[in-house]
Amino acid sequence: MAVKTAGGHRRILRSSLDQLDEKLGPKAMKRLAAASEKKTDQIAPTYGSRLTDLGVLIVEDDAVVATAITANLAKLYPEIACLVATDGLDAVLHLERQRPSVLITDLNMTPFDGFSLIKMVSSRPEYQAMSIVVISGLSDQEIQARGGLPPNVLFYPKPLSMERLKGFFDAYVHLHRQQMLPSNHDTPD
Amino acid sequence: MTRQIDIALFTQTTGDLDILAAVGKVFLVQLVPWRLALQEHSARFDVLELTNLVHRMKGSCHVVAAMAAATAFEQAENGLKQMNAESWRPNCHRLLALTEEIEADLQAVMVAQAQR
Repeated sequence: MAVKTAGGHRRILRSSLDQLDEKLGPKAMKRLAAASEKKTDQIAPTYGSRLTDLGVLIVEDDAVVATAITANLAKLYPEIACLVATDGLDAVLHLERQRPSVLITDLNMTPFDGFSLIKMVSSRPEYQAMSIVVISGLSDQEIQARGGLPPNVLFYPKPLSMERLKGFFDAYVHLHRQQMLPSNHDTPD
Repeated sequence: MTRQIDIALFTQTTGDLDILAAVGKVFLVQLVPWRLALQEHSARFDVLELTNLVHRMKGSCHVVAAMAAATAFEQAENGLKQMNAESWRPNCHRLLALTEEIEADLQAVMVAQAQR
């Protein structure tokens, strides 16, 4: 939120900056890191059992957007295996079978939307270790009107900047590699 | 024909130029069902289906950095609820023509990139 000073200048309130930081900035990344630290005590996803394996499920009904994400991830992080689902129902089937480490989902999809998917995922203990990233063109008001999002979800607005997604994956892959260090796992002979 | 694809913007927002081939190919394939759906939904003036369709087309235009087209689809999306079948018709024609311009420009850009 911005306010206008007596001289006509616009000033952005610190509380607004804090809110943005909470949702998209360093605080959001710290939350993600804290959530990732808990993962070792929880059910391990099928992906992630080896240093080189990371599974990402992309739930997006727009094939062009999904291709942009998968093409970038494949190029930048060859160790990541990408799966694409076209709606929430398709995603549930992939989740059961593949147990990805990261879920990237759109919100506006039919017949099973991203809100229902996130609600389902959040209620199931076997998915608590999974990081959730939402990409959507919906405004804050529209999201709140449809029930809002859980606090552990990272939100990126559409149109999506791939640089931001790369930033997330840089941090995520780094954390994943640290967790997969030999102290926790079998070392090769 | 106007330039629809902003290559410099594409590299800033979506990715390197080698990504353009993958994304552009999917975009061009999608254009055929999109046009058919646009015509079908417009004939019935199905506002819900039209809103979903132009919303998705807008998103795809953003990905290939067709910004003028993305703006046109966004305006159509926002204006649909205030329209009726009659007032929507010229918009439908305009959007269809726009998809042809994007198609031609995207093909030209992809060929030029492939030849480099």
